[in-house]
Amino acid sequence: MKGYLRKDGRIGIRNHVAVIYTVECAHHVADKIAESVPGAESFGFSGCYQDPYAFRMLVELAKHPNVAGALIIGLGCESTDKERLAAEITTSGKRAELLRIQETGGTLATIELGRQIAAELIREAESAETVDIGYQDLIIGIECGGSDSTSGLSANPATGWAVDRLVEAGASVIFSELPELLGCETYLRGRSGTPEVAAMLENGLVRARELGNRLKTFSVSVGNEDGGLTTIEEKSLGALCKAGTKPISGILKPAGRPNGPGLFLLDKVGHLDTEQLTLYEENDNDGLITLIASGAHILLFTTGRGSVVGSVIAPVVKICGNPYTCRRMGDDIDIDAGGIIEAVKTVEEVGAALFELIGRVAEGVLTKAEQLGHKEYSIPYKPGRACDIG
Amino acid sequence: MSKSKQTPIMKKAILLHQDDHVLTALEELKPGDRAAVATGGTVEVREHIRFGHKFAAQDIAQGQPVCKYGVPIGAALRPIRQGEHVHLHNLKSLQGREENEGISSQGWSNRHT
Repeated sequence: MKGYLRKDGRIGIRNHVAVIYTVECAHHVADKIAESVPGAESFGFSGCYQDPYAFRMLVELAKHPNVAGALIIGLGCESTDKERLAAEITTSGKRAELLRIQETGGTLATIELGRQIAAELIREAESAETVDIGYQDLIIGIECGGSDSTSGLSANPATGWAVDRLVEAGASVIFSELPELLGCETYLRGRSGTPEVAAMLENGLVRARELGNRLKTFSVSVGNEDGGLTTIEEKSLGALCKAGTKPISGILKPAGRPNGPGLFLLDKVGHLDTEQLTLYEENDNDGLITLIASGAHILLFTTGRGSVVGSVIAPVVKICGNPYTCRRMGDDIDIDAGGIIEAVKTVEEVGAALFELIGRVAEGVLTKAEQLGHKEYSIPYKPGRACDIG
Repeated sequence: MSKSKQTPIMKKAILLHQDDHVLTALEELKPGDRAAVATGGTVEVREHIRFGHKFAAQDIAQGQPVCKYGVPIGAALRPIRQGEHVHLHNLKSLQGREENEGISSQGWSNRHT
C-alpha cells in the first residue's frame, strides 16, 4: 500500500483539504467552499467562546496526516484565536490559509476567494510525496455505537480478533469510553502492560465512577435495552471484546497520540472538582473525532442496532453483528458479522475479512460511509478541567 | 394427517459460559419453545423472548448475582423462574451503589429510564 508522506514525517492514507470554520456564523460559507471543491471537506467549532478542548481538536484534526492543507474561515469577531490556529497548523509544515468574512467582504466574496484557495490547496495536495506503507504505519481507532446483545457475541469479538492481528503487525490501536467499561475492572486491570498504565487506569476508573455518581446514570440507552442489554456490566463486557486480548501499552488523553505500536486506551473522563460537568462523549461522532485527533487513520465502528455515520478526515468501517440489521441496512455496513450469530461464519473468518479490508481502505478503497457521503463530526464545548488534554 | 409424537424442535439460544444463569435467544422464542443448554438439559421458555434477549437457564433467587460471560452482570430484583425473560423488570446492575446498599436501593439508572 501507498501513503502520503507529510512534511512532519507522519503518513496519511487520504489526501483531504480541510475547510475549518471557527464559529457557527462561518459554517455556511465553509460548507459552500468545501462542497464546490472535490477533496475538500468542512468542519469546525460552533462556539464563539474560546474552548481549550475544541481549539486543540481543530489543531489536531488539521495537522492529521490524512489532511494535506487547511483553509480557516472565521467571521472575524469570534473569540476563537484564528491566527494561533493557523500558526499551530503550519508547525506541521502544512499550508494554512485564513479568511475573515467581515474583512473579505461578506458571504459571496468569501466563498469565491475561498474556492480559489481550496482549489489551489487541492492542486498542491496532488503533488504530495507517496511512500510504501504497511499495517505498522497505521493508527486504528475503535468505537461502538448502537450496541445490542449481538455486539458482544459477533461484531466486537470479530473486531477484537482483527485488533490482535493489527497489534501483532505493529499497528497502534486506540479504544476509549471508560464509563462503558464499568463492571470489567478486574479483567481490565489484568490487561495493564506496565505499572504506570495500571496506575493511570485505576485513576481513570475512579473518575469514571465519580462521573456516574454525579450523573446517577449508566451509559445504557433505550436502544441498547430494546436490543436485549439490561445492565452496564452486560454492555461493558460486550464492548471490551472489541479491544482484543493484548496488554494495554499506554493511556492517552484527548489529542495525545500513541508513542509506538500496541493497544492504547483513550481516557476522556475529566476531573470532577469543577462546577461544570461535561459528558465524556456526547454522541458517537464526538467519540470518533477524539480518536481521529489522537491520530487514528481509520475507525472501526461496531454496531448491532445499526449506524450510518462516517466522519470527516478518516474513513469509518462499520461492522454489524446483528444479522437482521445487516439485511435491513446492508448499504451502510462494510463487514457483516451477523453470520456468526447464524452459525455460518466464525469469529476468525469475519475478523480476517476485517483485517484485510483495513488494508484495502488504507490503499484508498472507499468505505460505505465514504461512498454515501457521510462526513459527520461533533466538537462540543468541554470546558475547564472537565476534560484533560494530552 | 396423523399427528405423530415428535421430539420438540430445539430453538436457538446460547449459554456463553458454563457458570451463566441466562441464555441469549438467537431467534424469536414463544412460550413453550424449548432450547438446549450447552451444559446439559433443556429449558422451556415461559414467555415471549425477542431475538437477543435473555431468559433464565435455571431458577434464580432474589438478590442472587446473575452471570453472563461467566461474570455477574447484575442481581435478581425478585425470584426468577427457569425460562422467564430476564431484563429490566427483574435484573439490576450491581454497579453504582455502595457495597452495603441493598439491590432494591435506587442507585444509578440507565439513560432515559
